[in-house]
Amino acid sequence: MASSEFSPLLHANIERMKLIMGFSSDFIVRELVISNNRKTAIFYLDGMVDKNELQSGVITALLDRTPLDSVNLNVLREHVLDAGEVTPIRTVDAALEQIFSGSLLIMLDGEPEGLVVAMPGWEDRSITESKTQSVVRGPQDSFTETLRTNTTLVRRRVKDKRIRLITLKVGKMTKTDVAVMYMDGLANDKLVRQLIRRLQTSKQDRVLEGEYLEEILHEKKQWTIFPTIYNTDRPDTIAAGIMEGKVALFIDGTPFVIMTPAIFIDFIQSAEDYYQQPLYSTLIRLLRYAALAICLLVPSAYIALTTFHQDMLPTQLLLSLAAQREGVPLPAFIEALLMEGTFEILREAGIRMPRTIGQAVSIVGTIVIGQAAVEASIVSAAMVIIVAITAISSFVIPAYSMSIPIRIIRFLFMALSASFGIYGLMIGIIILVVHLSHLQSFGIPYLSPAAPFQANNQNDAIFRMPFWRSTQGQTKQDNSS
Amino acid sequence: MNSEKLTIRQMTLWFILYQLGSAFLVLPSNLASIAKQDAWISLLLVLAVQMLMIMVYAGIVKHLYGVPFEQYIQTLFGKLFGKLFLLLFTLMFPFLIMSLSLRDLGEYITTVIMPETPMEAIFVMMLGAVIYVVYCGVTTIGRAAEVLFFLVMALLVLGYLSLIPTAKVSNLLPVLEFGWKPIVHASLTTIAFPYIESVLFLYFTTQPDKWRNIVMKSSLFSGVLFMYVTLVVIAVLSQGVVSTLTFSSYFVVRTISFSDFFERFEVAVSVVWFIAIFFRLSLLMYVSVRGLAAVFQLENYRTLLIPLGLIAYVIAGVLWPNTAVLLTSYRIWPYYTMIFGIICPILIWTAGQIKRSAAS
Amino acid sequence: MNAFKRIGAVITAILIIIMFLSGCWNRRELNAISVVLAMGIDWVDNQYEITVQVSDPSQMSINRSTGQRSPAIIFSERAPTIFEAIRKITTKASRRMYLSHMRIVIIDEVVAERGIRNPLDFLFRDHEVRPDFYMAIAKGCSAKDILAFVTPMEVLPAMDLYKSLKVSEHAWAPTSAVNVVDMMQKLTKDGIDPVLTGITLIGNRKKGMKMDNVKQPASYAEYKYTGIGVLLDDRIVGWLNESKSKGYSYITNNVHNTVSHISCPNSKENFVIEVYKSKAKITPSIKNGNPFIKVELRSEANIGEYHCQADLADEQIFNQLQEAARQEQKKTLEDSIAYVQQKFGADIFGFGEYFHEKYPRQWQAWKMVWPEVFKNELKVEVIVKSELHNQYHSQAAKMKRGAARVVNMMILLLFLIGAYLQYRALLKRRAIRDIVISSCFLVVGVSLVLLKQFEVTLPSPMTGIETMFKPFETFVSKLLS
Repeated sequence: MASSEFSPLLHANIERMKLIMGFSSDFIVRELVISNNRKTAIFYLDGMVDKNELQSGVITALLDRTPLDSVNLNVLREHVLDAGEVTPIRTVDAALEQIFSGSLLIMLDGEPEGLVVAMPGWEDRSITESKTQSVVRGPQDSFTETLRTNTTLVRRRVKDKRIRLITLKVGKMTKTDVAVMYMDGLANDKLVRQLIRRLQTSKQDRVLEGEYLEEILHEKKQWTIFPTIYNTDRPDTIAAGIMEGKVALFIDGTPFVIMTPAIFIDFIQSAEDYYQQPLYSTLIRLLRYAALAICLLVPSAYIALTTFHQDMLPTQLLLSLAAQREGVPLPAFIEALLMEGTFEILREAGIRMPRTIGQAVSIVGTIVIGQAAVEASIVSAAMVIIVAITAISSFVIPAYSMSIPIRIIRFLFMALSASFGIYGLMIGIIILVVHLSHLQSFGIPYLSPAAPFQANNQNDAIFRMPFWRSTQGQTKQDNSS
Repeated sequence: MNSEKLTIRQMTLWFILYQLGSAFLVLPSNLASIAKQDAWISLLLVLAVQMLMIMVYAGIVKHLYGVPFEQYIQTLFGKLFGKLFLLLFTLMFPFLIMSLSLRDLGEYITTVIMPETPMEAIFVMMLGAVIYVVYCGVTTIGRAAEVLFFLVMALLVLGYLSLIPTAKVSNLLPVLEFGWKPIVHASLTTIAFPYIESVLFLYFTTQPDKWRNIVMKSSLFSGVLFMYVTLVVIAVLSQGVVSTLTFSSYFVVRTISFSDFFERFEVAVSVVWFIAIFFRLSLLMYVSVRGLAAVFQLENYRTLLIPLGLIAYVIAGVLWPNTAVLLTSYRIWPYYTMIFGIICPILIWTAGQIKRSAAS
Repeated sequence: MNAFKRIGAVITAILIIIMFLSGCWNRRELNAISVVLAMGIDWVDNQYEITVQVSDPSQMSINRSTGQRSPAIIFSERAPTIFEAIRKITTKASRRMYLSHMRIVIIDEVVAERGIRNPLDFLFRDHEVRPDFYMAIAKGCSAKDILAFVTPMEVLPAMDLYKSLKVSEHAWAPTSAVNVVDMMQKLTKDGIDPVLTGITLIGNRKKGMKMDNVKQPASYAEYKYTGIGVLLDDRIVGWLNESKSKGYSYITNNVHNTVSHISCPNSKENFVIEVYKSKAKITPSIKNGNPFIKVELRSEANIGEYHCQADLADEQIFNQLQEAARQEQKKTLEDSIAYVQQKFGADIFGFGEYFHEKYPRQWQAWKMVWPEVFKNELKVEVIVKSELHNQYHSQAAKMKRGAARVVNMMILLLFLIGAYLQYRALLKRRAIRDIVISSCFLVVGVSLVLLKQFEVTLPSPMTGIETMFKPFETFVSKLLS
């Protein structure tokens, strides 16, 4: 575009704007004649602005309240317009940007300037219960698709003046608002600066969800399938994280807020751990670690034990397993692969199916297929039990993003133990531990505080100590690294 | 290279796992075949000798002034001789032990767990893991040691504490039936394998003032553990049985059976051994590549990992044709290692001392 | 036009439906066929009596009512040819006989004496029959008896017979699992005669055919593979006993793993060797116009059991043991060859084929009279170069060279890929010195692996250490004992 400046002629501006927008049907230009026969025009995107406000605060005001003597933008801004946020604007591009985020543009004939009135008024989803991480006791609200609502949900919880909020636009096409929230003095300055720099220099042309950012935030590329950035739709989790010195990124248009740095234990902990009494929470956490181990190891251990190390099974168990396998045509590894694969299909189907049918599918899938497969002696009953246990365990992991790598690695382990038995499985575990030890989330070792061992941070890793014993409730942890 | 940090705790745990990884499975049989029921006493002797040797090593550490060992050797003996010494030392000591340990692992798996698997496949799986971890650097190894040490301890406690009810003290009697000679003789093997190898810990002197404590702690820990295992194994099985078995520490766990349910977890012992030998191999690999990188003045030791892994893989395969030869090797091995574990350090220490007095 | 289109569409649809409906000419539902698992061929009243054993699917399903009906059913029918007999069986059974899964064919001794070519011809031609079944000769009983007999381990007798033959050939040499392709090949060649393993029933045959046979731990009757039957052309002429059968297996390279006992050199006790690798090399030559065969046996064995007094660790004793083992093997081979030569004149070892390959001209002269030449003129020299290893544990299959070689090459490839990736990264950083030094080591490593691949015996560093430090060891041992 040759010049981005507005021209003094109103009709020229109108033509130009229409041309830029390609005569889109939702781009509305409302022309008015106010006092002194001054022509004026209001530009906005239909559906993006609040119609009632527009009527009462702008159109009625312009028509009724414009003073007769002098009509210029300053007067309009100061005396006429009945709206909160009114700013003058000089360029077409800037004006368009505002229009796209739910403002309207007012132009007067004869003035090469416009007024932008922020009047966003689109339909949003109201605040509902968290869909992905529900709790029995604790706050039930969750984030929505609107950025401002989300930041407010956190602000309301932590009334501390040290909270900082920096908003940037990311994405050449989407121009998504991304808000970086942190607690000044608690969060690592270097990290905040690094994040903002990465966001500013990103060449991403679209940002529709947090994942689009997660992949570009890292300074150093790490090849891993483990999540190093936490995401949740629970405001209380984000609030707690910010108070621990973490940095949250709110992305407009998605109810999932991402938070960093995130280490292994963050994904194993649930918000509810702090809403229940400490002993119970500790036990539940241990249970979760056990479920993690089950999900990861049980199918491969079963394969290793039944195809390599039969001598390690108690005799009675061995006999009953052998009796079940009698007549099963597939090798145990293929059998397990088949069943685990089927389960993954069912899970995916359950997610993608329209919600009303989803229920039916999972019931049909689990009960009918399992039962029938055993009766047809295509798989052994023990294998169905194994798969069911694995499946249920994988749901115990509170963060969905952690259950994904576990599910993938499970298959690798199965292959390892099918070819080398316990030895292969052990090598797999060693490599997994090494990999996790090597990982870092923005400078924080992934396995801390277990490795490197930090004696004073053990209160909230595996155990959940009472608040009077831990650093959690009272003083803040220091986050230097 | 030295920017990679290890905490004191990580170092101690790594060294303990290193020492467990060597002789844990064969130790009771080796000792019992010479010292009979007094095998455990020879471990006391071993620990005493080890403490003496640590004094010598700590003397060298004092001379280092925080300079890495491989650099120190070059300043001590001059560039050329230092390099020559380092090259021979690396190839003949840590690298050879690495091939040896790899072979031990293959030997164990093919005799006890999976006789039909080719040893080559076993080597390469382990080498893959070792190369990966050394590539990730010592910090990673230290952290992994912290995590896996818990598993090792839990399994050891599970396996060997539950043996106590079946132990018979009469199996340990009479004490000193054959006098002191066999005890001294038996202790030679264990001094060499793994304790004399502590000389390799000289590569980890980022905290010179803590070094002696770290090595002492880990030696005491593994020594006491060895002693306990030897005691229990002999008390449960009696020395006659133990000396005919190759992997008695493994076999003994097979005898556990409580109420028909708490049984058959000898796999736990295998798991302990896999983990321990993994850390042993990664230390040896790390020391070898660091030594060689210093000899050839490479900017990064990681380049050597893959070639050395390949060579170790072949050497491990040709070390000995069968188990019979292995046993004679075990008998002669201590005398060979003493060159590197006792004579070399004393030499280095004396040279350092002379140089120091000459300087002052 | 439109009407035409519509009619066209309808016709296409109908055609497609018809095609689908008729597309199942060869379709057979599993419950419309009887799976024949074993077949017996007898000669009764101057016609063939064909017996087939089929599984009763209702008895195989997981919720079978035990003890009500036998899991296997046999049908038999007589006719002058096999084909007719099989078709006649349908007059007795409700389902079509499906021959693809036939595991074993038992031939009666009488049929074998009359020649097995005719019955084989049918089995070879029928499209349903797959050439992967084993064959055996019923010795001292009819084939029908064997099929009618209730086996203790497997529910289906045919599977029991099949697996037992397969396992015993692998772990116990004096049986020979002959499949139909081998058989046809041997029948069509002049310089080799076929063999077939014998099978017999021992114990109370009458009771063995009732379900009662398996209702107590010690069955009334059991089957047993015994020895190898020698066929001259396609007619059976006699049987080899166990030790001679083993000799046959050695010469024909059929020993995968076998066990034999050998008397101790200096005492009355025995020791047992487990042969886990064996290779016989046969070189034909012509001496003074007479055929001459050199059999060179190289085998590797472990000591599996040891009852001798002498100390195994003593090298001299060990060499004596090895010599004893060699003598024993030599005797076995020589006896076996001499017996077959003199008694039957049937060249089951295939010596003729070796001459055929090496001396095609001379062979033309011998071809027609080969059995005579084999019997009277052929001289055989046996050389045994076996090795004994002092190991208590079975090292059997780990020495499988093929597997080890493949693994070796894969390892080399993996390491080279790793090295390539690393060098590529180094090249970017211009670390030339690193690359040069590292590739020197890599070359050493690669050449070592290649040497290993071609089975060059590399010197062990331990040998040097041993010779150097042996004196110290002996000195200290003396000092301290």
